[in-house]
Amino acid sequence: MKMKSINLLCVCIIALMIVSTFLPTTVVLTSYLSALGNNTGYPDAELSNLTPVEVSFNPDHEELYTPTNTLDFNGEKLPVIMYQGIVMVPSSRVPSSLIADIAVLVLTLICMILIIIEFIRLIININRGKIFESANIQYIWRLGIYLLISGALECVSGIIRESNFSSIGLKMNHYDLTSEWTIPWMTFMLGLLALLLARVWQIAKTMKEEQQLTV
Amino acid sequence: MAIIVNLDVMMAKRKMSLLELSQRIEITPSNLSILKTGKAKAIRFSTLNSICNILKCTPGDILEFQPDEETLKDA
Repeated sequence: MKMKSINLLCVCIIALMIVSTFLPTTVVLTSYLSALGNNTGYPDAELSNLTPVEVSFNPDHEELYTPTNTLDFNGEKLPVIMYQGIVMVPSSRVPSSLIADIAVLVLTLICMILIIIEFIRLIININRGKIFESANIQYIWRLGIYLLISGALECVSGIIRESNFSSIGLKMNHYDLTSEWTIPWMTFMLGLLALLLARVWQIAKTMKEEQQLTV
Repeated sequence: MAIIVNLDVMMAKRKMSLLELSQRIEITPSNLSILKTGKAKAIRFSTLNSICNILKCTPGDILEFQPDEETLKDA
């Protein structure tokens, strides 16, 4: 019964790991690959159907704003509700930085795959009844290292992106969008927790060996 | 370690085999072998009590203290 609940928890953790890794990475990679191919990723026909909203750019405050929050339509004032935006990549963007960003994303993806593999190996051992073993200590230690590496790679990716995208805050009434990145504190904390757990596991293994040699 | 286990000496005096002793004190032969070969890290009082009871001896007959270099350094 205990093993069943452990396995259920592990399946949920692995599912969350896979979804949180592959979904955003796929979205970002697809959009980047489209940018590399000079494709907006948006069919031209659909683009022509969109009605552009006039906006002004205030360089002092780095804001994009509409003069009013209403639109004149046949003499009638209609409220403007922005639900979708298209970011046009500047033509002066250096392709090498895009490639660098993709490379960092791929490395992050590899890190996450390795994390999932180490976690699955740990669970398989626990299912076999081998809990306080040297192999498990290695798996947890590596899990921590990979988490720290993926956090560092996320920082690198953010820096690359920030150096190429101007951080324009899109501000309209009750609407705010920014391209700023933040340090992935949670990833670093989880990595350090895993390293700590590996050390505690080692102590537990020593205690288990002493217990086994107690007659 | 400075503690020497003389279980094999007592077993020979009482003409008892490892298997027989393990069955009488109700522990596995492998565990008793760990004790006999001096690999054990600790022994429970209940186990020591059973061994002394069956072999009709005192703990001093089974356990002996011979200080080694490590123990002398600690002292």
